[in-house]
Amino acid sequence: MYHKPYVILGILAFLALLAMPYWVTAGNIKYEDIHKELAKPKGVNCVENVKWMAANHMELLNKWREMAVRQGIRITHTETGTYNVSLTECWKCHDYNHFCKKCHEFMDVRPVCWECHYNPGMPFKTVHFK
Amino acid sequence: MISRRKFLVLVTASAATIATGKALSFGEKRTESELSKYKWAMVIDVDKCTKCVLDIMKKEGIDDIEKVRPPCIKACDLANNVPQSDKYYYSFIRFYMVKETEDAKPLVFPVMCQECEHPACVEVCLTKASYKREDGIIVIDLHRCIGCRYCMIACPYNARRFLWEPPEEHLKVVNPEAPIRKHGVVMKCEFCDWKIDKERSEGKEPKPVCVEVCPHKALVFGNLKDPNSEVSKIIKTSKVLTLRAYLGTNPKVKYKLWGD
Repeated sequence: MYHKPYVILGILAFLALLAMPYWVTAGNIKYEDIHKELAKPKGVNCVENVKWMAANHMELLNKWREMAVRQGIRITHTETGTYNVSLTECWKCHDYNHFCKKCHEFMDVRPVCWECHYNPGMPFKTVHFK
Repeated sequence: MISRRKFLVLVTASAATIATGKALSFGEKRTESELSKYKWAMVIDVDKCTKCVLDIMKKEGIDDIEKVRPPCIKACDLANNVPQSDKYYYSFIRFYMVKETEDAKPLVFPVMCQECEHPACVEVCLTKASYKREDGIIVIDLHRCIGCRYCMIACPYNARRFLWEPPEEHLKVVNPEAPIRKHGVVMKCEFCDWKIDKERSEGKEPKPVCVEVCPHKALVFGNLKDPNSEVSKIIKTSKVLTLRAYLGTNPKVKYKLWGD
C-alpha cells in the first residue's frame, strides 16, 4: 500500500468525524433531558403507560385515527380508564405550546397533524357541541 | 435420505392441504361489528322547509336562495368548521327552489349529501378516501383525499364542496371535535359522524346538529334497521320521495311532500 501512514490517518480522521455527535457532547445530552423542561400534565394517568406513550404516542394516534374515521369508534377503554377517541382528549391534561411543541422542536419532528386539526396553540375561539 | 420423488409429493400434498383449508375458511362470516346494527336515514318535511325558507327570504328581503341562512345551515357551518366565504358556496346544505310553472307555489328542497346506498362518488375515488361505512354513511377520510374532485363530478346531487381557500382565513370560531381541514380537499355532509358516533356509544339518541336545531322539527333522523324508530314509521306510513330515483343510487335521505 502506498502512503500507508497517511491512509490510516485519513481513515481514522473520517471515523472520528463520523462519530462527532457522540464525542462533541461527550454523552452529556440525552433525548430524555427535555422531559424535565416540559409542562407538567394535569391528570394522574395517561391513556396508556406514561413511558410507553412518550415513545409511541404517534402509533396510538394512528390507531385512533383508524378507529374514529373508519370504524366509527369514538369511545375506547384502556387499562387506565375510558377515553374519547379524539385529539381533544389530549388537551384535557396537556399543554400544546409547552408540552407537544417544545418536545417536537427539540427532537426536530414536524408532525402534519396541525395542518388540519385543532390545537390550543391556535388563535381560534372554540365552540362545543354536546 | 428422502428421495426427490417423495420430497416433491410431500411438498405438493401439503400445499394442496393448506390451499383447501384456506378456501374452505374463506367464506366464514366475520363477527358483526357495532356499526352494522345501524342504517342512518333522514326524512325531510318539504312543506315545513319551504315555509321557513320563504319566510326568511321575505323577512330579510333576500332574492337569491343561496344567500338564505336558516338555523340548520348556521348550526351546521359552526359545528363542522365550514369556512364563510363570499367567493364560494361551502355550506353542506343547499336549497333548491322548484316551481312547476312561473306562477305556481314554489317548493324548497334542502339538498345535502343523500348518503346513497350505491354511491357513485365512492366508486370513482382514486385513493379510497371516500367510502361507505357499515352504517351507510359516506365518509371522506381527509387523511387520504388528494383533492382530485372526481367524486364531485360523479355526485348526481351536487352535494360535495371543494375547499378552495385556506379555511383558517375564513373561520372565526372552531369546533375542536370536527376537523378544520386544509385547502385542497373535498368536504360534504357526513351526518355529523363525530357527534352521532359519540352519542351512540354513550347510549343517547344520536342526532346531527341540523336536526337538533331545526325550530320546525322538519328533519327527522334515525335508524332504518330499527322498525320502531321514527324514520322507519314515517317511511312506512307516509309517501316519501327520493331525489333522482331513476339513477338507482337509492338515497337514505327522503323527502316528505304531502304533510300528514
